[in-house]
Order: sequence, then structure tokens, then C-alpha cells
Amino acid sequence: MDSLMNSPLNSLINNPMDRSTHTSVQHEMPLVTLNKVTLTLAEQTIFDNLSLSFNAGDKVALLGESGIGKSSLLKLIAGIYQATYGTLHNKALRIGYVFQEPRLLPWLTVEQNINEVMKAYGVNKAQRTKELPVLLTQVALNQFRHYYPHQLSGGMAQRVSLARAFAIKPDLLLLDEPFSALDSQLTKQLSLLLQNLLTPATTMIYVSHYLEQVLPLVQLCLVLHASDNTNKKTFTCHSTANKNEREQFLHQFTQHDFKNKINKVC
Amino acid sequence: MKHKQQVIMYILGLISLLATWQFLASQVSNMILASPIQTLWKFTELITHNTFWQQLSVTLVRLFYALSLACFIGFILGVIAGRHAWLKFYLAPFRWLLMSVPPVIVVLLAMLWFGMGNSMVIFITVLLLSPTIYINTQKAVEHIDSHWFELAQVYKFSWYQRLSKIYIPAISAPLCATLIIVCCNGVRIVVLAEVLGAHQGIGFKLADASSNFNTAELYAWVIVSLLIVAFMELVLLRPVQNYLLRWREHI
Repeated sequence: MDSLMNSPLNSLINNPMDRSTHTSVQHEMPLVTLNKVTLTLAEQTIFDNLSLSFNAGDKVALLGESGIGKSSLLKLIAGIYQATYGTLHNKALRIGYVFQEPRLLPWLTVEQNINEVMKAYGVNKAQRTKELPVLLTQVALNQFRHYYPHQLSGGMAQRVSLARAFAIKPDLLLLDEPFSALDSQLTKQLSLLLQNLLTPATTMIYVSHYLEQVLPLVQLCLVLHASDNTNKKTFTCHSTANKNEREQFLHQFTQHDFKNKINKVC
Repeated sequence: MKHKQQVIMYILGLISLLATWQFLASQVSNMILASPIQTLWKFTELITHNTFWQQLSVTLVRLFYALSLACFIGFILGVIAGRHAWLKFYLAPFRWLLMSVPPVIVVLLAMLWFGMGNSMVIFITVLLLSPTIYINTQKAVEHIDSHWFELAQVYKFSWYQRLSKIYIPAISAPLCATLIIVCCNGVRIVVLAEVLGAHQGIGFKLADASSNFNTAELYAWVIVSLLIVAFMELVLLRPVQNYLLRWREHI
């Protein structure tokens, strides 16, 4: 574990403001910084004194056993939850969020669902008319643009959800187990689609249980652990930028005791 | 049930109603109950008369202002109270008072405050209808899935987008039902207020016909008020309902 603990992101976990130790290739300033954040929901402490930062362009997988707070962390970053104590700085101007379920407004068509999000971000009509068909073609749904969500299959609806997230050209993309309700074949297809849509500048935080689908897309894996007797959550960070590292990480997973917990849901 | 069967049952119901009316009218004096034929005859006489359209327009204008104002107040307060519990609790005593007090008491008080005429009729209709719209909107908004608000927050929806793309479509089914109830009640309350304290309008003509023992005319005015409700439901509300719920057609 020692070698893994020295990975770039981990230095930021322990010392979020220390830029000198961060060797991540992309940009100078962190895009998202959590500084000693405590999150309490319904009188239950989810995170206590958590410090963490993500750089622009980072592609990170967020792993950990069910119920440990992965989704809460995404919601905290997206601004849905507010930190009870501590500070959170999010410099992302456009956040794309793919929820666990497609979460398409049922009274709007495929086209309107995407259109509304673009409108909210001030994309003008001419640009929307130009970009929408391109985006829908990318997700192979152009001929279904006038369909309502209930007329789509689960895979199609999740493709619309992906297209909606990419319609605003996000600088931060948050994925909360987006393909968990789909079969493995569909998950593979959608992972490929996600890979094609991703740009190097986009920061991605990807919560998933499908390790094999996530690993090719990310350079870092954050594993969230809960200490046994307190609510304190700790992270271990693992670089998975190349094939060797990925294999090493999977190997570590099979050796380490948290593997069992993760494997239950893999 | 097939459309054809629905129409047949509807017509059968209407014929039964008219037959019962005719039967009862044949049993008692014309002074007490006018027959359907007499009423229809009086009705055609009424609508060809100049003053009919003037009286009708007075009532319709009052109804329009009262319903618009009641819908506006009830809807806005309902949406806010559905999202912010403090307003719900703050308004609870007012809602309870207005929904419990008999309309005739409100009419009598409003006559003291406003005198006879437009202001009084509009005031009491708004006062009595807005709690119905408020409570139905508030309950419906309270039950909107919080998932949609998370979506709106993440994707920075404007307040207008939240209202037109989340609140209104999400509560459109209960809202349409409420609007139908409110329109029917609106006609009843406006006519009641006019009977008790106005110099013009359908209610005034009803009171006039009643005091002159002109039973056929009284029933003819009742037909007019029924037609107003039918017009509002079929011509105004049905298209709105079809538009709001158009996405469900495909289910």
C-alpha cells in the first residue's frame, strides 16, 4: 500500500492546499476543493473533517462499499447538499450530472429534455438547433428525438441522460452509478459512448461498481473507507493511468481486505 | 368503456333526468315547478332579448375577475407553501377559517363592507375559492419528487423553467381537477352573491323572477348558469387539460 499512498491525489487529500506536491499533468489550480468538510444529514454525520481536491482534467473513480457516502460526496460537490462545517470551493462553471436513474422529465420529449438544460445555461436558439441533432446522432437517438421518456428503453433513456450532461460541454462531469440498472452488454456500450464523448479538459468523478468498465476511463481510483468506531471517512488513492497500474490496483483489490466489501457489489 | 357506449350512457342519463323533471312538473302546479318545455320556451325568449346579453356579460366579467384573482393568489401561495413549511403553518388558521365559514355569512359581511355590486361579488368569490386552490396546489407541490428539484438545481434552471417545466406539469393532474371544482363553485358563489346583493347579473334576475313568481324564467336562468359551467369545462378547461397532460396520451 505504501507505494500507492504516494500517488499525486493522495497528497492533496492529506494537504489540500499544498500545490507543490501535486504532479497531475493538466492544470495549475484545483477545480474542486473540500477543506475540512463535515456533512450531516438527518442528524447523521456522513463525513467528518474531510479534505480533498480535484484538478481540472482529473478522471477519478470513486469506490467504496454501499452506503458509505459516495453519492453524498457527489451531491456535495454538485451543490445539492451544503457542507455543515468547512468550506467547499467548486470553480466548475458547467456541471454535468448523470444520475443513477435517467431522471428525464416525463412530460418533455427527448429533444426538449436536452433543450431545457441548454437553455438554462444560456445557449442561444441558433446554437441549440445546430448542436442538438449532432449530439443526438452521437448517442444514436436522432430518430427518437420526439419520443417521451416512457417510450424509451432503459438504455436509450440513460443515453439521453448522458447526452443531456454533455450538451452543456461540462467542465465537471459527475456520474453516480449511471449504468447500474442496465445489463452488462448495455453497460459496455454506454461506457464506450462515454469514452467517445469525454474530452481531456473535462474533470470526471465516476461512482460505479463496475470496476472493469470504469478503470479504462480513469487515471485515479479513490477508495472510501469508514473507520470502525467513528464516522471518520478516509481515502486511499491509487493511480490507474496505465495498464500495469490498473492490473496492480485490481491485484491490490484482490489482496486487500476492502476487496471483499467491494466485490460483493461488483 | 368504448367511446360509443360512453355517449349512449350519457344520453340515457340526460333523458332520464328530463323525464323525471317532466313527470314531477306534471304532478305539481306550474307555479312551483315549470316543465322542461316551458323552461326551454322561456329560455329561447330570454336569449333573444337585448338585456339578456347585458346581464350575462355582467356575471361573466365578475366571474372572470374573481376566478383569475383566486387562481393567482391560491396558486402562488400554494406553490410557496408546498416548498416552505413555515408558510403552510402560518396560513393554516386563515385557510381553516375561510373553508369553514358558511358562504352566506361572508356575503352578509361583504355587503356591509363593500355595499352592493361588483366589488362585493368579486371579493367574496376570491375569498371563498382561493383556499381550495391553495390547499390543492400546496398538497400537490409537497408531493413532487425531490429528484426534479435536484435536477433543476444541478442544471441551474431559471425560476421560470422551474415553474413551467417542473411545478406546473408535475401538479397538472390534481390542478386540472381543482380548476373544474373551482369553476363550478365559482358560478355558484357569484350567483349566490348576486341574488343577495347586486342590481345586475344572473343572480339578480333569478331573485327578480323568484319574487315575481315567474317560475319558468327562474328555471331558464338556472339553465343559463348550467350552460356557463358546461362552457367553462368543455371549451376552456378541457383544452388546457389536454395540453398539460398530452404526454400521457402515449402511455
